[in-house]
Amino acid sequence: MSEYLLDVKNLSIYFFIQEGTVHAVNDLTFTLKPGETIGLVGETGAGKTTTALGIMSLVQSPPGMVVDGQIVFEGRDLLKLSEAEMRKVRGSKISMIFQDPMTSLNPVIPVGDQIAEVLLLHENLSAADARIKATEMLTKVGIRPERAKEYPHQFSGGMRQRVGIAIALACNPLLLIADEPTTALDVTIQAQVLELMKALKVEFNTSLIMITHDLGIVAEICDKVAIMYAGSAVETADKYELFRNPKHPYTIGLLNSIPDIEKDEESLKPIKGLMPDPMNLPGGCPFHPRCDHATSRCAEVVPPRVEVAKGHFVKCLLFEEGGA
Amino acid sequence: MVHKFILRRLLMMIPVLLGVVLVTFTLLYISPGCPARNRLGEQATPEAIIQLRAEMGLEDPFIVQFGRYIAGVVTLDFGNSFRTDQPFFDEILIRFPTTLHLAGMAVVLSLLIGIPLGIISAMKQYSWADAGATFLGLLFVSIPNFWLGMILLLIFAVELGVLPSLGWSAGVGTEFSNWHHWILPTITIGASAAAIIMRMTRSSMLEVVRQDYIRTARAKGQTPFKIIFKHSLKNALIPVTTVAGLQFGFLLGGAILTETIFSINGVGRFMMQAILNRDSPVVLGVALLLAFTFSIVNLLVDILYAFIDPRIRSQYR
Amino acid sequence: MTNVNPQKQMSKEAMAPEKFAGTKRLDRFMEVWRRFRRNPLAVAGLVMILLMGVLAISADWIAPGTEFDPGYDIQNLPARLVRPGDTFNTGFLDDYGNPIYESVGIFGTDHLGRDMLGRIAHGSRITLLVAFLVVTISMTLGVTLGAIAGFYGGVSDNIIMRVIDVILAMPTILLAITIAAALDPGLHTIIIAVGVGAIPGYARITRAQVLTLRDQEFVEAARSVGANDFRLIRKHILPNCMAPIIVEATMGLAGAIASAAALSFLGIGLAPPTPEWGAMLADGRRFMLAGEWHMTVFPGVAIAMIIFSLNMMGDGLRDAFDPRLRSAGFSKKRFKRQLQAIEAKKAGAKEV
Repeated sequence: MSEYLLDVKNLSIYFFIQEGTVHAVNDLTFTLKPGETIGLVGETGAGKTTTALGIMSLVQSPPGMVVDGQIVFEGRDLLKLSEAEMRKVRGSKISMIFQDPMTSLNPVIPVGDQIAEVLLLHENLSAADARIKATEMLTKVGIRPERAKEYPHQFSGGMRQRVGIAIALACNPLLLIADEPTTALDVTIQAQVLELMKALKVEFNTSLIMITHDLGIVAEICDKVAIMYAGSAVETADKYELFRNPKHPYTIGLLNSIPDIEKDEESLKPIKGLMPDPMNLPGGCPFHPRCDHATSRCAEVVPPRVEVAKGHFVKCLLFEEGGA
Repeated sequence: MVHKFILRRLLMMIPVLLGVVLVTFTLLYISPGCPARNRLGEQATPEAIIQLRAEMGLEDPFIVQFGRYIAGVVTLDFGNSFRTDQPFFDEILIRFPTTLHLAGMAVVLSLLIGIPLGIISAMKQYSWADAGATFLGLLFVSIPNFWLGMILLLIFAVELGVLPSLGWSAGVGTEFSNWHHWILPTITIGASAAAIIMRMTRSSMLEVVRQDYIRTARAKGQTPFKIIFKHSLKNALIPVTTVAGLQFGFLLGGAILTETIFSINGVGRFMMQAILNRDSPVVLGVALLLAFTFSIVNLLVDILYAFIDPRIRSQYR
Repeated sequence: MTNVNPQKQMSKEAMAPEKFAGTKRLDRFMEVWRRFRRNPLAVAGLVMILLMGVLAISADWIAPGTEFDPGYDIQNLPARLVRPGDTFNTGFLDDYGNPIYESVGIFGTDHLGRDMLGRIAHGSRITLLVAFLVVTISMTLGVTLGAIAGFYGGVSDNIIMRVIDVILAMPTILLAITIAAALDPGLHTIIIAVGVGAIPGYARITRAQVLTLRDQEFVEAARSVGANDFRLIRKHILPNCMAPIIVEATMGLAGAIASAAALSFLGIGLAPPTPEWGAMLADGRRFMLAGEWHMTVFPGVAIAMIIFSLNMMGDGLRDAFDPRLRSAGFSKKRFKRQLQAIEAKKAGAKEV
């Protein structure tokens, strides 16, 4: 068995819709060690959520399909598991927190039962014990246990996301995928939920994939970062390495577009142009139409994944072996 | 509280029912034809007709006649049938159970067929089964139920001779032993309702299975079976309940045609005869009865809502 | 109340206000047409409706008549109740003294020896006319009432909606029968009887749409430059809520045809010898138990077919107006091809 808990290799996920084929995830590679936290960072439509659903085998199919790659988790390729085997993994070994807490809980089932459900599925518990454990989980996420009988509409957004966290952590998973868990929340609530996740992550010793477009969250919670662009990780590195020594022009552009209090306002440089249509990706490097360093080769050759420093991978022709 | 909600809804029904009576009453008032002449026959002298009209209160001004009818309704006196001179109340008591039985069976049939088919169709979206069910659903929505009844009669009563052509005419009751009498009328009246409920269930299920909370349930490792029956169905049935309630009203109306075709001695055929005979008290009474039943069913549907949907339940508190 | 909220069925995209009229509206129409065209059922519906139109136009050619003897009422008593494919004894003898048999139209003849095909063809004119008039009138009234109720709210809203509640509380067919019985028989009676029951649908849809639109910025903007209420409603609000109204109208054509047929079937619609399809079914019913199936089958098939076509078209229009409901149509072909490619690769890998 490898040292990695999760090893995603060359993952590609497409959606076949009438208008065309959506290349949501393209040749994505990244790894995660036990207890580690990786941030998947990118703009809307960069394929972050599809990646998460791909790991969970939850891509809506049809029209979606994993067309290539491997997702090795604890030494097994999840893509080779049957649906029944995969169901045993979901919720118990890998679980997920969703973006919008207002819609991710079933409106007609009391929250306590929604937490107990996952316990009944994966732990050998009686219904009564599951309910007791569910109220314990509620207490852990900071909700009074007597509210277990209430329905989602009786909770605020932040409270519902706490319920979502309780569901995700109830079975003590090895890997937690958090899909922009704080995007839909107020700023003050965001901080609370983030703090809670951080604390529980340490308590449960869980690996975490944090999907976000907010580099601030990355700085706060992650160990390493994968910068995603057009369905692919264009740069992967340790958090400090990436912030100090970004290589890929897109990463540099992303870091430059964040206002920094200490720097002059004028140095803010937004990346020109827009994210390409995933149905109609440009040939070669998907970033080349927006890239200042683009050469004619960039439009033809798909850049390989190059290790520029230990654990620091870049997909850009500028760093091709023997190149610049 | 729930009682308060029900009471308020019952009170809100009063102006609506009053409106129904007013509309029907006005239409009957301006209708051509004279009930007195109908009863006395063509040979009656003008004097006799005028005398009978006065006795029946038909010579009074509109507002007096209307007021008298409403006053009667309040004391549950719906007047006597012009044709039989029997109290409307007694006449309807014989017939209403029959119609209710027919409409009720049709609703049960349409739910039993429509909901499972809708679920299967939604679960197997893009499959041949789904395409077939969608096509058949639209087809049965489009076939007028009176024609469906006639075709069923042609096939099963005339050509094959396996089922009787008459429903509950005199002497045939609604008991289960007479099932072969009511099978065709029930299908006739229930087929389009089944198709509508199937279509609604399908689209509602498709909407629900795309919801985030279904993804949450799948992310928990829940089985497809439980995802359908525990997580989806209850949510999907909320709009279906509305449609089923509305269907009950349409079924009561559809009974007029179906009862005519199968010679069923129910409210619908009674109404039809009354209209042709200008039997105003009966027409008024039936219109009021059907509107009342329809409103009550809608109220029951709204109460049922609260049982299904906790969000609505907390609104009533 | 308990009616299905039409807003729920239309996504935000479909209701998104068009702030720039003119070319943009044409673009949007082309977009809707493009999506509509891709839906085979909807196109089949449209084609069938057009064919029905052709049938109506060619009725005089199929069954020509004279001024006093209209094409649908040419009786031929020796040819009574001839089933399709059968022949009848004309009563004449040929040169050898044998009786002459003749065939009849493909749908047979009715109890007065009238050609069923000719009657159905002529009947399609009535059906299409009634449906068109019912929808035009009830839509105009319903949309006007709904727009007033939604735009002004308050007392007018209350009055209009209570009247609508009353209409909705009566089963449609019951209302139609009562109205039809109260008025003199004729085309106008059928149109009123069927049309009144259809008003609430349009009124409710329009009201719901207007309620969401009236406070939006572009309406405020138009108001601020001095547009009066009438212009505001007609130019700025109604064009933006046409999509659900058009769908309702398409389905309304189907409903009007069914109701009109039901009235004639019950004998309170158009008087004989009008070849109204419902009235033909009523004739058919009299001879049904005697086994004269063709008098029941063909007019009914005609009614069911046109209603089916209109419903298919209505479904197609709804999907075309609101693509989100169809969940971004999925391409089965490319999906399967990809699946096969992956399986082929796996099989290849195993062999090696």
